[in-house]
Amino acid sequence: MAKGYRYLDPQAVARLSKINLIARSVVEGFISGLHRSPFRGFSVEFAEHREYTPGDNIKDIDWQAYGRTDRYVVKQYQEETNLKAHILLDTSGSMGYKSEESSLSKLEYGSYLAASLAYMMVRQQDSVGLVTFSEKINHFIPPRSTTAHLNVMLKTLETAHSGQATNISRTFHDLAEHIKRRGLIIIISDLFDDAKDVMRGLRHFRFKRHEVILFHIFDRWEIDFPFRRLTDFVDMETNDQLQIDPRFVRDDYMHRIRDFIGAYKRECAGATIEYVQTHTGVPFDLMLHSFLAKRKRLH
Amino acid sequence: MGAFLAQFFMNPLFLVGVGSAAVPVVIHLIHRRKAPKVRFSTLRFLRVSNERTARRRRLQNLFLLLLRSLICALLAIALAQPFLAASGWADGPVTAVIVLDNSMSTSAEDEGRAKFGVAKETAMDVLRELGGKATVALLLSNPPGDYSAALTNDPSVIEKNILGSSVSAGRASLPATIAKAREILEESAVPNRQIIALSDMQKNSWSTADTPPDGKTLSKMPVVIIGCGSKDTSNAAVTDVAVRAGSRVEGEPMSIEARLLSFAPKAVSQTATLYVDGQARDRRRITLAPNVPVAVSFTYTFTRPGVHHGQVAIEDDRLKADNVRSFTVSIQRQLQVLIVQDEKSAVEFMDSSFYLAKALDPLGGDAAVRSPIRPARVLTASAESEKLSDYDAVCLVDVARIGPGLARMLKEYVREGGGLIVFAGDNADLRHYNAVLADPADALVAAELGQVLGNADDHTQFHSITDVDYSHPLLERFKGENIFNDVRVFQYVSARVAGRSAASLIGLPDGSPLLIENRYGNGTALMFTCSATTDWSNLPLKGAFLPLIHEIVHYVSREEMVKESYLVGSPVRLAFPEVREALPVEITSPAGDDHKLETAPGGAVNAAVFDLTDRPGVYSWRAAGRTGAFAVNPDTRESDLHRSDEAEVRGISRLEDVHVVSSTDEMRETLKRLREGLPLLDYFFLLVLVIAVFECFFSNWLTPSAPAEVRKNKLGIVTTSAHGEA
Repeated sequence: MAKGYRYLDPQAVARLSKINLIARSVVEGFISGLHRSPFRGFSVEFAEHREYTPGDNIKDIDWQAYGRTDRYVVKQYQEETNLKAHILLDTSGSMGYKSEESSLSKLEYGSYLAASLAYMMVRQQDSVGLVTFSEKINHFIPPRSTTAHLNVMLKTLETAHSGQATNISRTFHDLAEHIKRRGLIIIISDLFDDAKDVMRGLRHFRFKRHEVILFHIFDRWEIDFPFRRLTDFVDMETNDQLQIDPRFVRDDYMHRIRDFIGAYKRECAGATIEYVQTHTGVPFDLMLHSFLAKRKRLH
Repeated sequence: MGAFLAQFFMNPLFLVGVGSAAVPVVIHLIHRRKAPKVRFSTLRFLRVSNERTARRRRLQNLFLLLLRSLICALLAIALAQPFLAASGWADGPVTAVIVLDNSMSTSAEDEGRAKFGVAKETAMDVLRELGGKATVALLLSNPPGDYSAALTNDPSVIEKNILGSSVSAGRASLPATIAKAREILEESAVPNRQIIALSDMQKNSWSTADTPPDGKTLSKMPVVIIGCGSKDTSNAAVTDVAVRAGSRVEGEPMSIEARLLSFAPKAVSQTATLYVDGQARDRRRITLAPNVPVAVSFTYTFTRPGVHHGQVAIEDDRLKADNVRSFTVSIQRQLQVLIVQDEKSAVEFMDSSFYLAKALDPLGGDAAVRSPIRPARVLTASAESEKLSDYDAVCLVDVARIGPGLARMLKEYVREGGGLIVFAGDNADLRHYNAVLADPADALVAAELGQVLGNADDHTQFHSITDVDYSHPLLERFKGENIFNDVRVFQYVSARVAGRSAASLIGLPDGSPLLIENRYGNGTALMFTCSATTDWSNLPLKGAFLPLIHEIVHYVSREEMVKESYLVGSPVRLAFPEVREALPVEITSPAGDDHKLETAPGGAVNAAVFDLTDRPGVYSWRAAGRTGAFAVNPDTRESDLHRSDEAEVRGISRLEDVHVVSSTDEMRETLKRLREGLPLLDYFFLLVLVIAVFECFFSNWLTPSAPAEVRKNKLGIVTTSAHGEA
């Protein structure tokens, strides 16, 4: 276990140690593992029978089946393989928001989440990589399953900082083209960009047969908007200012945020993307444990 | 500037505080500047929400700002103590007319104290309130004849006049009195003019009939009306007394009818007593329902000729003045009737007036049995030398032509209340009659006579009497007796009733009238279209003739009685048509005061007018060796003690600036308000309060409810599976 890294909380690690992140869909890998592989024939786990065709190895013929059915059939085996996962962490300016009520900024929360996920993956012999992005890709650490690689990712997370504008959709399109081998894409972002463009990027992942898990991170105050006094709001990405009496816009704002979240929920469900909406007030380990447990039940 | 503001504000310095209206604006600007800066993840949603609500919020905030500024400004104005300055009021002394209602109704007592006494005390308070520098006049609603109200700046004169004033028995016309007060004040050039009226507010004193007919505002000067006395309307009155008897001759029973009316809200029992010549003669116990007139009839026989006076009185109540009503009646030994005819017949029964004279005095000459009517016959030629006013009635019997002198005498006689009875006949020149007596411009008979119809020589052809007006007072006693059934009319003069004051009392089947009445001046003229002989009809031979002639004489000679009663304050005209030169007249009032006046012979009739009839009671007069009397009674419109309220007074009197108060304190407050204007401090504070409350509600309504505390749900996490499961 890696120690001494800011975003790898020992308590969280302990809590998540008994649960695995298993790919729900088929992933491609070369090492035997937890996940179903599309490659058959070299594994030990029986999958199905198939009619013998010339060219098949004779030793693969199931003679017991021949005795029962008087037909030549060969056994097919499904090979369990290791998972290649990419964790995409949004480090745009908006992810740096931390309300007075919250102890973590969204970026810090996302970093904890990313670190925990990375640790889990490496622990279960899966390869995991890390991508941080804002307007463009800031860091790209390709997936590997070694502990040293985990250390690199954790260090990268520690050095990540927010501050730039967002261009999520372009980043997603670039990565979808860049990642050749299908695997698991874990996105951690507040998605404060044009929702339609973002969804196009997400669908691009799906088009490339990746499984996508989307962690939509908010600060509690972004949802409840509990401001009461006349306030000059400063945009963390553009530094634009807007003086508003929050009492008068609160209802409309909350309505729009609900619509924003609701749109992602609908679109993700339609695109078979697993959508998890949370906020920084929820302990990330609890949230992750709850999510993984639920996922396991459904798997 | 300061002097200008001082006209409207007690403390104009506080107006500096109006600048505090800017305080909400400044606070708003400071608040905007001090708004905390908060870094927020994205303005994407806030910007859209803000744009959507900004316009509406800007208007609402502007209105709210305006309200708050208004509150500050109004508060400053309120502290400056604004007041509504009295119009036309300037520094300096007051000129006022105190109008004191001394009409009969103010003598009504409240708990043993007359309302007029209260009004006088209040008038003294008013005088004191006006101050020693004021110029004041006192105007009574019912002044005595020589009374003149004059402005004076000597309060002791007004005080003396107030204390010396007394209640009258007359009716007040306060709109007219206030108009008079305005005239007095308009003569004064000083600016601070006001009218202060003290009245019991009795309804009839504020009658629309008394307001000037031009429809203009009666007075633009401030008028303060102080209502004195209670609202109790309990009062009963003798509203009328009339002598209804048919004869004014001694020994004949007379009917004296009184009408009583109670204004009390409940029925009351009363005793009505008839007094004649100062002695109680009869008494009736009656119950008076509220506002229902009750007639009480007494029968009395005067046994001596001469002028008699009497009263019908009820028991004392709150208003004593209307509890007695006087009457006078002149009783004669016999009624004098003058018969005028062209010639006397040598054969008595062939005389044209034989049957008439017999009917008037059936036992003529018998001293033992005296007829109530004494006829005297005179030829037409010497009729002008007769003094017609000595006769109660004059009969023209088959007179051929009436000379202009006699015609003028007859018209004057009837106009002054005499009675004329004209009989047609063979000699009557009908064209001449039409010209002299039936001239439409001045018709004494008011019947256009046509031609003689029928044949006096043929008694087989006749008309019966078919049309009798039994509702007429002259004929009402014959109703149901059928006394005209056997009357046959052989010859008559066709006639057409002309004039609104004329009517046919007895008619024939062909529609021709047999007896025509015409009211002329104060008297009555009757015209028979047939003769008084048996040639033209058998009426003189029938039983109906005597009572009919007696009724006619009593009827036409009754008129003078009506003139024997007048209302308080109304002028009395005493006519002496038979005298040509100025005639001294002596009048003694009920209080025993003697008044001397003289007739004015220059007019149509030699008459004197006496207008000092301010006391109710019996007035006696002496002139030209004759004596007479007339009764003056109070106007019983004053008996109704119902009051007018302020709205009625305002509507009826058309007073522009009228203030009705009911107490001395209210009067002081009103006068102070007139002097100093209406303080608006309370209204401004009230306005500030209302706006402040409205601002609170409006502000609260505008401000959305505070966000709910962040809900502590278990995890605060929302997830959806890849298949859309939550």
